[in-house]
Parts: sequence; structure tokens; C-alpha cells
Amino acid sequence: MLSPDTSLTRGAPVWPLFAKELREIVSGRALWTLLLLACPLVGYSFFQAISLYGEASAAAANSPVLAISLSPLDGILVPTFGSFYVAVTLLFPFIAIRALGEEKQSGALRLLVQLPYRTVTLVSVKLAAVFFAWLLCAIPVLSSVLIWSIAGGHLSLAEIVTLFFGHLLYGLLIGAVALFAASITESSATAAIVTLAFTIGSWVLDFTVAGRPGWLEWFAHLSLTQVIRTFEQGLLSVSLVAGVVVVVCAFAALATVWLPPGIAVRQKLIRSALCVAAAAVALLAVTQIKASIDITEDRRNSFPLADARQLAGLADPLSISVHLAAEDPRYIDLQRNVLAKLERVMPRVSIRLASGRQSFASSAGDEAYGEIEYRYGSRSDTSRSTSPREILPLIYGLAGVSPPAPISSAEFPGYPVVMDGAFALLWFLAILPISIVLAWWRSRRLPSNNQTFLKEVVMNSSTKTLLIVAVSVVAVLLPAFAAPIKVDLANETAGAEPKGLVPVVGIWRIENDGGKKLLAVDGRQWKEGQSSAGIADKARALYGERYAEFLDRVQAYAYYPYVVAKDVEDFKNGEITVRFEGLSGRIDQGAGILFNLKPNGDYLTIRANCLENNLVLWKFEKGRRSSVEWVRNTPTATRQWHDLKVRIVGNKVEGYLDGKLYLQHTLPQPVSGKIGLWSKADSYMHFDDFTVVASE
Amino acid sequence: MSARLHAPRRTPARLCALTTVALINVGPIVQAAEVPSYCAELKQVAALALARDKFASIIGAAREGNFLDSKVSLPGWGDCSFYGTRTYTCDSQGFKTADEGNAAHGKVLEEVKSCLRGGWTEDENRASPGYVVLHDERQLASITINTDLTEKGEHIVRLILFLRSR
Repeated sequence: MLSPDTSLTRGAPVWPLFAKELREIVSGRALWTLLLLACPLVGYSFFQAISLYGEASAAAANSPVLAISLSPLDGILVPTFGSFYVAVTLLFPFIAIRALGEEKQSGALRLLVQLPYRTVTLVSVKLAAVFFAWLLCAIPVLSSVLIWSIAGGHLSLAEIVTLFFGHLLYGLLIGAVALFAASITESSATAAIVTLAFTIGSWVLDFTVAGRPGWLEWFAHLSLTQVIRTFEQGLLSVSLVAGVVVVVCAFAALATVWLPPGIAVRQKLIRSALCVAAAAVALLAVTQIKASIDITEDRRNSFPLADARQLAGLADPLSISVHLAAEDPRYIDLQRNVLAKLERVMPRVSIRLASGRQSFASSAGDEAYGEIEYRYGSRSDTSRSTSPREILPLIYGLAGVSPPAPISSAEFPGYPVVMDGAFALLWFLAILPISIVLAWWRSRRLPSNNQTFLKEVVMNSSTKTLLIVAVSVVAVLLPAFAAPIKVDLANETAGAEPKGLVPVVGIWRIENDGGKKLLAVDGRQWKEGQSSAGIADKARALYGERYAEFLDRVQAYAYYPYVVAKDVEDFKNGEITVRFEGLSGRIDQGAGILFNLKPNGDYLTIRANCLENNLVLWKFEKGRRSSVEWVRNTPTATRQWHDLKVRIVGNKVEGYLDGKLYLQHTLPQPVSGKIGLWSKADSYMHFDDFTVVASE
Repeated sequence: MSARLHAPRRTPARLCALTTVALINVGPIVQAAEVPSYCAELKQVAALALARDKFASIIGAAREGNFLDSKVSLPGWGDCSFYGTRTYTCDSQGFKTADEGNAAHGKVLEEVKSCLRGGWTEDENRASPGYVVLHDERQLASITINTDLTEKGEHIVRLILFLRSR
């Protein structure tokens, strides 16, 4: 047998090789089987998630405090992606194994290694093909995200991207393990057993040793499923990402070592040992990286901003000795609420589980059990609390600094949504499976010529269908994130308060006008000075822990009815539009767009008035109203619909009425705050098409 | 001697003098005819707005929402009432067309200015078609006069007198 021509090794194009690998994957049954099985699996999980989320949302409609806990990340995305994770764990190895196992079984591998490619190139291309296959497998779960978005569910781009990235890393990890398994075994079946030993073995680790003290806890960290947990919690950890990349590269390197036939096993073992050693060193290095990003909207992995900044400035080492068993619920609370956050924010923190080798049951006689000792510099203190409200002041006391003043920032409002999941079932149990079967049928008519494969695949084959589906999912999904936020009233209940808007002052309700649902503010029944019903809960829903100041202001100066949009945290630039109609009002028939709403209750509004035919930019500070810009002669007939628009770019404000620019003003500060709708006195107004287009 | 014998003779010169005096006195009489019939009540309400206890003495029973009865109504106007304790309002009779309503709006403005002349001035920087604002000289209270369309389709003029500072 001749050795490959080394002059060709570097110049050989990779593209045909990649095309061949794609063809191998697409022509196999494993991919289609996984896709078909993933449909009901993902679909049922998604449907269940929608149902449960809807039940919780319905409860939150009567108690806005409950709304704060409603996050689509926990309620919808994690459960739905969880079913995809099961499919990937159990079935994806078969797709990845096929990339190598078929060639080993048929003997084609011996021909393949004769081609002018390095072995590492062969394995890298196979890994790239596995990555492509994983993307195809992700179509069902991506479609669920799309359905959720189209149906009006809230999505945070950062959360969905991070979760998707976590599952992608997990998929690559499974793929790399499968390639390695295929490289060291002679048959696909054996490779599958080896791979499943890794994946199902991870589940066994999770169920048996997780939460146990001592070395078992360390052992539990080897579970592959731990990769996803951190991403599901909304944490983007640099060390975790780097660690997974190292492990993927290590398995790929091992596959490269074991792939070529004709090399002595001893030599392969030596090379493997070197790979493992290099990976271990690299893993040791990346685990020293502490950087991580809390991408969650509710900042669940972080202390409040003021505390985070204060703690970051504490330079001395903080050592914490915890006298709790690892499986003790108090330790789990402490770890989640305090220790993990401290490790993220403080530069030098060491945590020791003093009762590490104790079990929960054996610690009953220990008087110190339950104590947590904090040592900062030369000072120390002890507490039994697991709450940051008590622990942070203790740490500040040890450091000799004062607790910081809270920093005003937007609070997580929660996103309750009640929707019908019937379409999701139709999609996952009928439309998508039929599409996949059709694509499968088309795939069986693929050309056999590898060199023309890619062209045929992209232009004429069933993969085109799948790619169109994938691209469509992405194309529709991406604009969904940047699409205007329109407060949809179609699913609202006539006679009830709106769900997408939080009434703060005045009587706001949904009214049915000739079959169309509209938002109404009814000042005829309202008494000046009365805030809306349940204002304490609503203030808390809007501003979380810093709701007290907002509540005080609202209750003290409830002179002007207004609602606040739930889904807009901080509006700085863009356009806000609304249609309105003045129905009645002896004193006023005012309709305004409220913006720049601060946690202290101050805000700005541009309002039209059917009784005055003017457009005015009002400023409200500590309940006092003053006109900032006043434009006369703006025809606003009563009992007619009008369009009101506010355009904001930094500190520049423009006011439009019925499409005509009337008002221009430059504020001393850029606009930043929540937004909503505004009215005045006995105004009885209808609002519709409240739309927000935020821009950077 | 009878009184008749002592009656002065009305010579042409005296007639001229009497005519002159009469014409001089007719001016105020003609002007007084432009002062509206509701002027006295309007002055009373306007004076209360600037008084210490404001409208407390003329506020009546509570109505629906934030409205309250008024013990003082402007003659010729309807539904005089208070919105809260700081805003007094009355509606005119209804007119069939917008033109009639606008004409009445202009007429009311002149009547109010005529009634309250001296102490109240029109703020032309705030005026729009169908909407005018008058402020008292100390800027403590304002009067707005605007047009509106009722549920019955009638065009009306509405007068609102309110305290400015809260």
C-alpha cells in the first residue's frame, strides 16, 4: 500500500469531503427517525408547558405578585428543550456513530485514509457534519420557540440564545463521544453501547451521587448532564464553555488517534494518554476562570446591583465555613441564594463545607451544625441564616463598610400568558411529521456522486426542504425578537382589567365594541386621588423590591389615570403609537402616551385632548404637573379615532397626531424608563393598537 | 300758585341740553345690555375661587364619580356642578350644528370677558379653535371655554372655572 502523497495533503479541498459526510448522515435512517420521534416528544412537552404556564398565569391575573415568578425561561423553554435533550441523549449518538461506524464496517475507512487528508481533518469534518445534523434535529424545538413567539409569548433573546448554546455544546459533546466510541470499536452496535454508557451513565450519576458529600459530589460533576444545568439557570460560565470545548476536542483527538488502521495499539495508547493528560491540564486551567454572565432578565444569579458593586470592591479574602451537610436543604438554599452569587462577584472567596463528610442524619448531635462562619481579614462572625438580607450586612460589617444605597433599575415584572396549545399539537403531531416524512422520501432520491452531492443537496434534494424549514424558522424567529411589541387585546376578557398593561391610577378595562376588544379608561366613575385596585401588588409587579417609593408616590398623587406596559422594561429609543377615541368627558377628554416612568413615579407624557385641540408634553415630578411644550391648533375631534405617536431618540422627543408632526422638544436628559398610556379626570376614552417599536 | 304755573318752559336750547345729557347716559345702558344675565353668578363663583375658603360654601351633594352638586348655577346654563372641589363647570344649551356651536362659543367668550373685564385676561398663546383660556390677574384660577359634542349629537359650549395650583 502506498503512502498518501504529502504534496496533496495540504491542498486537498475539504468541501467535497464535507459534502460526502452530509450525504452519509442525510441518507441514513437515524436522522429521520430522531426527527420523527422528537416531534411528539417535544410537542407534548411544549403543550404541557403551555398548559401549566397558562394555569399559573391565570392565577397571576388576580394576584400580580404571582406574576413576578412567571418566567418563560423556566416555564416554557427549559421544559421544552428538556425533551429535546432526552432525544439527543438517547438517539443522537446513532447519527454521530453513523458518520464513522458505517465506513469502518464496510471497509471504506481504509480507502478514506488513503485520500490526501490528514486524519485530524477527517475527524474535524465528521464533527462538523455531526454539528450540522444536530442543527437539523433542533428543528422541532426551534419551531416550538417560534410558535410561542408568534402566539404572543415573551422571549428574551439572551436567554434563548444561551439555552440553545448550552444544548448545542451538549450535542457536540455527545457527537464527539460517539465519534470516539465509533473509532475504538469495530461495529456500530458496540459503539452505541459505549456511547450510551456515557450518556445513561450520566443519568445514573445524577440520580445516585448528586448532592452527596465528599468525593461523591466531585464525581457527580463528571455527569454530562451538568453541562446543561448551568445554561438552564441562565448563567453563561466561561469556564464551563471552555471546559466543554476542551472535552469535545479531547474526544475528537482520541478519535483521531484511534481512527487510522494499521497503527500498533501500544502506540495508540501512548498517544491517547498524552491527549488525556493535555486535556486534563487544559481543564485544570479553564476551571480557574471565574468569569460568568448572568443573562436572566430577573438577575436570579446575581445580587442587587448596588450590593454587587459594593462586594466587588472588597479586596481581602472572605472565607466561609459551612456547618451543614451537602444534602441539607438549608445548604442548597445557601448555595443558591448566597454562596454562588458571592463566588461570582467577589474576587477572593473560599468556601469550605465543614460538615462535608457528615450526612444530614448523622449531624443531629453536633451543636455547631447549622452555623455558617464568615471570616474577612482578621474579623469573623457567625450566622445561621441562609438569606442574603442578613448575610450581606454581616459581611459589610466585617469589612467595615456601610450597606450601599439601592440603585434604581427596572425590575422583572413576570410574563403571565394564557394561550391555547391546540395549534402546537397540530403542528407537532401532524404538520411537522408529515413534512419530515416527505423530506425523508425525497432524500432517498439523492444522487450517489459525492462530488456533485452538495450542489444536488442544496438545490434539488429533500435537504432543500429541511433547510427551507430551518431557514424559515430562523428568519421568522429573528424578526420576532426585533418586531414591534403590540399589546394584543384579542385574548383579553371584556369587562376585566387588561393583562398586558398594569392599571396604576384610574379605572381601566377591556370593552367590547362591535366585536372588537378595546382598552377603555373610564373617568366617569373614578374619584380623583384613587389609585387602581390592588395597587400594592401592581407596584411590586412593576418594580419588585423597590416598589415602596413608587407605591408612595402613586398613592399620594393619584390625580391622572395611567397604565404601564408590562413587556417594556426600559424604553430609550424608538416609537410608541396608539389609536384613541374620545367618547365623553366634561372636564377632559385626554389621551396620552406615557414614557420615562421612573421608580419614584415621575414621568413624561404627550397627550392630545378632544376638548382643547392641542398637543402638550407634560412633565410630572413629585405629583406636580408642568407643561414642557405646548402646541395649539391640533384638530382632535371628539367621537372620532385619532393616531397618536411619540418618537424618541435619546433626549429628543417628537409628537405626532394623525400622522402629522406637531411637537419637537429636546429634554435635558435622555429618555429611560417604563412606558404606558395616560388620561385625565373624567375622560372616557377608547384605546387600540398600542404598539412599541424600540430601537438601539 | 299751582305747580303747573311753575313748570319750566321747554325751549329748544333746553331740549338740546337734555338730549345731550340723555345720550351721554345711554352709553352705559347700551353696554349693560351686553353683560350676560349670568354675570352676577359668574362673578360670585369667580370671586369664591380667589377667596380663602374657595368653593366650600357652594358645593353640594356628591354625584357619580368625582362630581358634586353646585348650589350656584349660571342662569341660562345647564348642569352646573363641581368636579372635585376645585373645578366648577356648566354646559350651555345644545345646538344642532357645529357652526351654531362655534358661534355660541365666540359669543360666550365675549360675554364672559365683558362680565369679568379688568380682572381676567385671555391667554392667546393657549387658544385653539373651539378652546380659549382666561387667567385671573394673580394666575390663581383659570376659565376655559370650549365646545363639545354630546351623546345626543348636540353641540354645546362648556365653561370651566378651576383653581390652578394644587
